[in-house]
Amino acid sequence: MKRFITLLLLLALMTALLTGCHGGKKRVAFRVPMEFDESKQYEISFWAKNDTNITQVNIYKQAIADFEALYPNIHVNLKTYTDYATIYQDVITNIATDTTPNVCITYPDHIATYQKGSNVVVQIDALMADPNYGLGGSKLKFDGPTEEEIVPKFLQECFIGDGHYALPYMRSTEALYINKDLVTKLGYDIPDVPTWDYIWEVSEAAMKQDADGVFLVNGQTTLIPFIYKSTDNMMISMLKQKDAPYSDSEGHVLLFNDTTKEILYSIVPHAKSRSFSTFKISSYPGNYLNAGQCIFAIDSTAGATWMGSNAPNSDIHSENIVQFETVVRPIPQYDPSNPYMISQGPSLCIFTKEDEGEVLASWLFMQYMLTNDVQIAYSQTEGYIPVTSKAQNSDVYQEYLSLEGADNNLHYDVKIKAAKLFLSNIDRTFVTPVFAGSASVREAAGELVENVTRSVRRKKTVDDEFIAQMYEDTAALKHLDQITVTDTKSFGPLPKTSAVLLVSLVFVWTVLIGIFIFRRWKATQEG
Amino acid sequence: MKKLVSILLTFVLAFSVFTACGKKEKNDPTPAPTTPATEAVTATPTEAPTTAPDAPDVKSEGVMTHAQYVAAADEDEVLIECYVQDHQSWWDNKISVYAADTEGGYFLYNMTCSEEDAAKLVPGTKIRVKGYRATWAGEIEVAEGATFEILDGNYIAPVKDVTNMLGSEDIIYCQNLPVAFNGLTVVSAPTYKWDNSGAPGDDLYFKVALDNQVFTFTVESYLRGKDTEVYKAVEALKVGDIVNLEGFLYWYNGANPHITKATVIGNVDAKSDGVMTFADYMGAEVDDEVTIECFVQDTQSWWDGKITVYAADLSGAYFIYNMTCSEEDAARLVPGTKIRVKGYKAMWAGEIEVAEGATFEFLEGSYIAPAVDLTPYFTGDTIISQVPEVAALMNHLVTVKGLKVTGDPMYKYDGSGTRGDDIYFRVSLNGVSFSLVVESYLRGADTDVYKAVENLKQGDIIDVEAYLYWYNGAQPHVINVTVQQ
Repeated sequence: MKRFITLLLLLALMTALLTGCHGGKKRVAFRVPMEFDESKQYEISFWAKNDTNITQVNIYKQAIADFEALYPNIHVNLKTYTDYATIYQDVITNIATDTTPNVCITYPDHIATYQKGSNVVVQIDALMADPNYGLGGSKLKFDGPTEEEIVPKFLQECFIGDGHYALPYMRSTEALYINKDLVTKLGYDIPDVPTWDYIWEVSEAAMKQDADGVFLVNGQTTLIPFIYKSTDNMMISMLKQKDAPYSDSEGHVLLFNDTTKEILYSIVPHAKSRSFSTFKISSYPGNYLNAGQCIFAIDSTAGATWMGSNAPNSDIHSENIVQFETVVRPIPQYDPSNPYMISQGPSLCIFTKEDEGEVLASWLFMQYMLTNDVQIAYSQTEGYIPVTSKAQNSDVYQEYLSLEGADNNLHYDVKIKAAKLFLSNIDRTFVTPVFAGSASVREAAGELVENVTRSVRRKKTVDDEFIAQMYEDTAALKHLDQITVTDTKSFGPLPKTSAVLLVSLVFVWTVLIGIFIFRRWKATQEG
Repeated sequence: MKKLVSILLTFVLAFSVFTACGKKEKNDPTPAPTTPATEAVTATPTEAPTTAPDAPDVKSEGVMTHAQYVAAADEDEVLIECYVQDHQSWWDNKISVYAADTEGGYFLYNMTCSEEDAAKLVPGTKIRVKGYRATWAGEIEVAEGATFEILDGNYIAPVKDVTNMLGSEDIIYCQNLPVAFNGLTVVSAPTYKWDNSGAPGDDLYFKVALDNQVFTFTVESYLRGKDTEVYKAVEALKVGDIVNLEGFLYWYNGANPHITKATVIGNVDAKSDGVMTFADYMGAEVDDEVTIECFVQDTQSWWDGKITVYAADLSGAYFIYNMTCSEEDAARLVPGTKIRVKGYKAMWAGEIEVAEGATFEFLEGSYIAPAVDLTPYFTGDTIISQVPEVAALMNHLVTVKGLKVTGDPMYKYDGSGTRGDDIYFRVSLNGVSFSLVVESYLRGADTDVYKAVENLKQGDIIDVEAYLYWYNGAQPHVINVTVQQ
């Protein structure tokens, strides 16, 4: 009888194992190896993003060289991109062929989409916590940050669903770059935290022209007082400042609401007067700002080296540059006492590979990118800030900040002002919820601003009917109706494997109880 | 009796029909061509032979075939039999004749001929010519001073449509034959003499384009003088006229047809009702709705239902950014294709364009705008973008010759990119320095121009061909680079 029971148990166990084997080709979750094998050669790929900035590329190369000197058995192949969208597309393409890079610069929005596949991106919580190779681990060959030394807000941004899938690499926010000379000429002061009403008012005041079409304030025939580079961020920030819905972490798209409509209506008169425009419609804000043809330019702090009369990266002919004082302020607010600005910038993730040693090698390199040398050097290329307090508080970085304006390259004042603006407002930054499809919601937010602005310029009527249709069209165009909503309030259907296991257990226990009852009954009969 | 006569007549008729069929088969005026040139001609002759041939492919003993004639060396004595197709005006006992047999064409230059005999050289006349073979600027001919005799026989060669052979090497096999070209676009006004130094009555020269190639055609005044219909028709041609042409495929360092008939069938600049002219388009305000008709010159790579198009008409060029387009339609947007585009005008960093999201439809017609040479505008102390004549060529195909490469090519404008990204390189000419770009969506890493630019070295002297894109000033998108030796 014992043999029979054993067989039944074995059968149940095998059933469970078999169901577990179904889909066995899926990538398996990563486990941290006990030791990193330094006798084995590893070749890992690193897909990086730079802002069309050769200094940034050189910093990557230097970091790789320094890392390889510490770990001679790891060779890192660098591939650089200049925009996130292309990296994203390339990764998506390579997921299908299982040829993803080892380490990749990314946005959390993108990771959420990558994770539609099973274990494509490595969840790094175990790696972070590993006493040997984790953050601040005892067997690291470099002085990396501990978990506590990563700015908590930035690390939290990399928590996606059930754990951390990335480490922050650099962070920036948006800044308002102002031509102070023109504002003063119009008779206005510049507040510490400008409001939207202030921006609109000054912009409209700047639109006066003489009979020949020359703008009085700048003496030129071209003037766009206010240009916003990223209209995605514009709408998202405005909604955040108004505490209005946008989306949630479950994947609900809440963007198409009455507050959004109210915001769009507030843009209409300024699009109509052409005191407001966007990058997509008119090109880079910095081009106009530096030519004295724009008063308020909103762009990333990571674009600070393009802003101002002495900008080291100005894109226009030198004879078109106008001399003026550039003031850096937070983006406009509805409530200046409670400002909000977006947190953005690249993060790093690692992709699952069959060889756990290869994944560990990737993790070591990823951590190395958070060391002070790399963090400080890269942040100095633009108005980025390091993501670790360890780097931010270092003497080297503090000295860099103190030399604001000492020259027009490394210490370019607008760039350092932008970095300082961010450093003093980290607690005022926010991010949007991340889920598969959140990148599309972001694009849709920008499209609403672009469409309304374009339509008004094209003399179309923007009314409730127009906006309702635009909501519908934008949702369809961005496939927002195809986003899968994850309802965290219910557990959903039981996984198949679990169901089989439970049924097997019930079956085994039923049989065992049956046998027990039968034996008791038989004993009673015999007794 | 009647019955018998009827039977006999029927028999004779049947016999005559039978022999006529046999004769026809033997003397087919358009037998299968034997030379590569005629094999390559696939178009239907535009004009059927007007006269039944009299064994035109049969040569007397000792007479060369066309192939033998072509293969002979210059100054070899040649004896040919051919049929007069046309001739230039007789003068001083000489006459130049365009002749043919079923295998190919002949040009008999200044053949010795009395005025009386000249009158007998009507089209179709068979002649035996004895002289010496010569080649002059590529034209194979019987040299001046050849003699001839008139034979029995008559043959008019069919006019062959060689439009699709223009620009190909094979067209030389049709040398001196009567040919037709259809749908060519006039790209330069006719001139008296090749350099416009002449006067009415002199040869007329005019340039026509097909796809991206330009050819020089001539009305040879000794063949068709100033009072002829074709001379007057060509004098009246305007740039942009779309023409059908006929003539003899004369050769002067390449195909230089002598035209005998010109028919205007349209004009590139003709716009449908409600469609803007180029001037209207340029005069429109930014964000105005625009409807244009133009011809595709080139495209960037299609992606996600969008395609960016470089287009032109006779008056100017257009840049149509991210036009809405299916992948299937994108494949049809080959150079020359005429399209009607509806969208909104935009200006982006100085670039005048039709904004993203424009729609289009295909139209009948084809035109490739010839490149404009910008080289003369490169003078010292000039900002090239500020030269009005240059600004007026925005988005147009341009060439610049003799540029000196002054900086190593870089992926992205500052070298931060990798292979596959746009390539930027600095050049200068007469003290004017500026950047050129190989736009990777226009010419990717696998293209010849991309590879050629990757290999440029400082100091190289180059000629470039590019679309005059604008980004805060002229920033040409290069499609061709030639390093000068």
